[in-house]
Amino acid sequence: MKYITRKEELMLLAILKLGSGAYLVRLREFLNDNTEKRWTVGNVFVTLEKLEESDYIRSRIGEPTAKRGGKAIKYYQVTDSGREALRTVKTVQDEMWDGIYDFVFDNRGTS
Amino acid sequence: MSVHKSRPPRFTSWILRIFISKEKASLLEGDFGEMYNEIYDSRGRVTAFFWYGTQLLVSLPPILMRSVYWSGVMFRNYLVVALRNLKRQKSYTLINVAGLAVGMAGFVLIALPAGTKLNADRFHKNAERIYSTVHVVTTANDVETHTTYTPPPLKQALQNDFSQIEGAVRLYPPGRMTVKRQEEIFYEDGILFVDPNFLTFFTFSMKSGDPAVSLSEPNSLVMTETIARKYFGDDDPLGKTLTIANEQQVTVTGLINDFPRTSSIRFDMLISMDTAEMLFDQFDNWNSGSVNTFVLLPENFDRSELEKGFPAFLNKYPGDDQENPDRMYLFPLLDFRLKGDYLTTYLATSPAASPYIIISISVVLLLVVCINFINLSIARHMYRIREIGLRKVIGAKRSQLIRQFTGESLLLSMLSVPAAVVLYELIHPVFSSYIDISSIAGTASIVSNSLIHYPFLLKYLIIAALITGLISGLYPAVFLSSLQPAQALKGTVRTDIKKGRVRRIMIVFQYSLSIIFIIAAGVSKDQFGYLLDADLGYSRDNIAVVQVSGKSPEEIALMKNEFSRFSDVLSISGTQNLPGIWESASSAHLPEANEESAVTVEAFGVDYGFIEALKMELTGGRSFSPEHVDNSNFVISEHASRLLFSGNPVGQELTVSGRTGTVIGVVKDFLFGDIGLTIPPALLYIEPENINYLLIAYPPNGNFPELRTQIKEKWASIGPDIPFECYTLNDYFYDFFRLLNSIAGFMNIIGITAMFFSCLGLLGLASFMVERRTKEIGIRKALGASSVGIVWHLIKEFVILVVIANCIILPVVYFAWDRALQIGLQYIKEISAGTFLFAVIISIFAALAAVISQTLKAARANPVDSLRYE
Repeated sequence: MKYITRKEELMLLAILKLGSGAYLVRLREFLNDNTEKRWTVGNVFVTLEKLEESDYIRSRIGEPTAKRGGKAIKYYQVTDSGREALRTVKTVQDEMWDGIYDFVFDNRGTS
Repeated sequence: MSVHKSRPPRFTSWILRIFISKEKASLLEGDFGEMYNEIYDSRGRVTAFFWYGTQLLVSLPPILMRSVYWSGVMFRNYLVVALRNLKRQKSYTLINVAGLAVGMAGFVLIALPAGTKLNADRFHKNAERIYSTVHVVTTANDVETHTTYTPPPLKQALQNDFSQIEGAVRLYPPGRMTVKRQEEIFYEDGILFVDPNFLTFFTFSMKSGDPAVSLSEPNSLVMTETIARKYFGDDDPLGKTLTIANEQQVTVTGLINDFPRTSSIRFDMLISMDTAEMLFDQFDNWNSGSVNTFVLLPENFDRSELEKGFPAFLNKYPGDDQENPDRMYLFPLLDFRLKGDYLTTYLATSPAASPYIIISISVVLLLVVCINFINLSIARHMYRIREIGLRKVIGAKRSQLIRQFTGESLLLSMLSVPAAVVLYELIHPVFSSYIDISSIAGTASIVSNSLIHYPFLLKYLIIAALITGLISGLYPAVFLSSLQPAQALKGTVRTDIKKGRVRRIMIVFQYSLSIIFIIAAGVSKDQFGYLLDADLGYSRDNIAVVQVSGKSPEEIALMKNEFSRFSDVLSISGTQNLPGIWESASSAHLPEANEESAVTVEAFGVDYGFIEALKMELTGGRSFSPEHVDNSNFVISEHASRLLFSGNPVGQELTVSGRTGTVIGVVKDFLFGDIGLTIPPALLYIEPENINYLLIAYPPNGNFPELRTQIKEKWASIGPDIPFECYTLNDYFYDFFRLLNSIAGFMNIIGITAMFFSCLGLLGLASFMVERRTKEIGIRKALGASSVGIVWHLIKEFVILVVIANCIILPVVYFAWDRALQIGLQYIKEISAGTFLFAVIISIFAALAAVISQTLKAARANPVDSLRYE
């Protein structure tokens, strides 16, 4: 199977962390605060679109609010296959890291 | 939270909606709006606005990428569906591709002459910097002539006086000359004497030889491939010698590739100018306008700056005041073919409007092709209504559907481009004679009309395919995409389209256009025949012509004497030139009147017996006769008589070009020159020196080929050292009117193609109608209708369409032609009833042929099957 990208992984994690309040504006805020990458609205939007298309997340349309110029909010939620995808990358990650953690972090064995 | 009055700038939604669907864009706008408001609250409007703008800008690339990705996915889907459809309806695809290919090949064929005009002479490296000098000269009668024939010393004088001129070259066309190789002798019309720098000044591609030095030695000859083959076959011509004008030996130093029609400078042989200076003596003469002088100006140079100095330059002219030009200006090389029609020049020119007329004709043809394509595709798309319904239900936007169907028709028209190329390559040799309508010398060395030589035609072809695809696809696309999804899924459509009303209108339109072309072809053919038979004041029948240019009166007398012994020869006369394109304007006045009152008449030099040989009709006085020694006398036309004399002219004195003589006879008006608006006043005089052609009259039942053989044998024994050329005067005329004949042929091509398409359209409609009415036909048969009855019943509809088309267009054509007649063109024939009848019959028969198979099939079908249909 195809692994999800790092960007998608971060997005899925962010959605899980924000829980029921996960929508574009908050997600972008959260990602900008917690990662070193700058996330543009377009980046966030496109990543969400791709994830939704692959069924890793599903969305729910909320009520329109005045603050949003009368437009509705789209909330996101991670699906089971989204969790599965996260598990897969994490497992692969762990397997790959197994036994070399010290080499990387203590910088031993290389000069 | 307070309600915010502030809203993000409106342009976001426009931008976003270009790339993402409406629903998604709306949600995204909400997100944008929320962030905008937050920043607005905390940091103010300006910051919010700028944040907003930059954010939108940096957000676009990923969104754009995504939209491209999606259109890629959809494109693949469209392509798959389109190809499946094309495969499923093989015969439809074949008809359509074939139809488009025929249409586009025809388009290219028609566009070729126009295209060569629009692209003329661009192949020269410095084309846009090359100018020809033009002299404006006022002739008798105050007629201004603009001529590129200028005095030979002009080039050097210009280069001396104007330092800006980077280079200059002269061309001297000597006209017909003899060229001899060993014992073989030929006339050549395409000889050009040129300065040594000709091949570097212009850019003709050389096959062998060095452009820089090939013509630098006196008596060098550079010839085209075609001409080299004529003289030397497969041998290498380099270093070989030829004799020109029976006196000067020239050596072949280079070989030039045949050039394309786009070249306005045409020739078969280039000979160094030094040779011309040896052969002809007027080369230091400021009064002889004989060479074409071209100059090369610096880049981005305004030629008017040079022209400012011309009046002063002309004053320095050492020539005779009378002959000096009034004005002088520069004419761009690139304008010759498009705007040079008014010039007297060696270069090929053509009427200014013609390329545009031809292009509009070809666009009309393309329109017929488009209509045909639309007709066929409407019928075909009927089968795809459910697909459209489904796409709409799934959420396809109308613009997507339009794009899909336009794309499909573009695909089809692009598929037919290779087919059109192949077809064009196959048919262009057949039609080359129709395209070759230029009558200037040097046309022997022109390359074939293959696309290889005219790459711009490929550009035209692709543009034509694009336009055809777009126009043809747009109509069905717009109409089909407007269907309601529910209706479309059920397969019910508006009935007027089902009945094919639009298609009928289009077919009537198509037929009308084809009928115009067919009538045009008929008219040109009629006109051709009419001109051949037109009464020009003399008879061209039973006259053999033998060219004897350059022979002395003694030699000619010997020949006349020898030839007159043949049994089939009635009489032999001679003439300076042949009627047909013979123009020789001279001024004539009464001897006592002053020169100011002179009028221009055409004066033709002939031999004794000319009037009798051509059966010109005397209306007063007598003809020339050797017994009277008429060497200084004139026979004038009735028109000239009215113009010059008030009473009976016979016996009166007249001065023509300084020669005074007596008028001895009057003949009916005659026309030796080009057929134009009026017949000019004319007169004949006895030309003792320059007899170029013998006219040999033979009896109506005489055998020309036999006579020709006899003359040829005798010719060989006399050995006059010039090529033997003998033909009938009628053949000469036939050749001469070839231009008109080619127009007729041209119209024929268009007529046939247009008719072919109209028939295809009709065929499409017929099969559609017949299928729709399968049940009706079944019922009719079951109730006892005969096959013939059913066929007639079905055919009637189509015949009515064609008749309607005829009814609309015939009066239009008739009145348009009537207008042309009223303008007063001479020798124009009225459209004969036959031509009209022909057009009507052809159009009806073509229509019948197109629909008969479909209707017969339907009528013959077993009614049981028909009734079970669906």
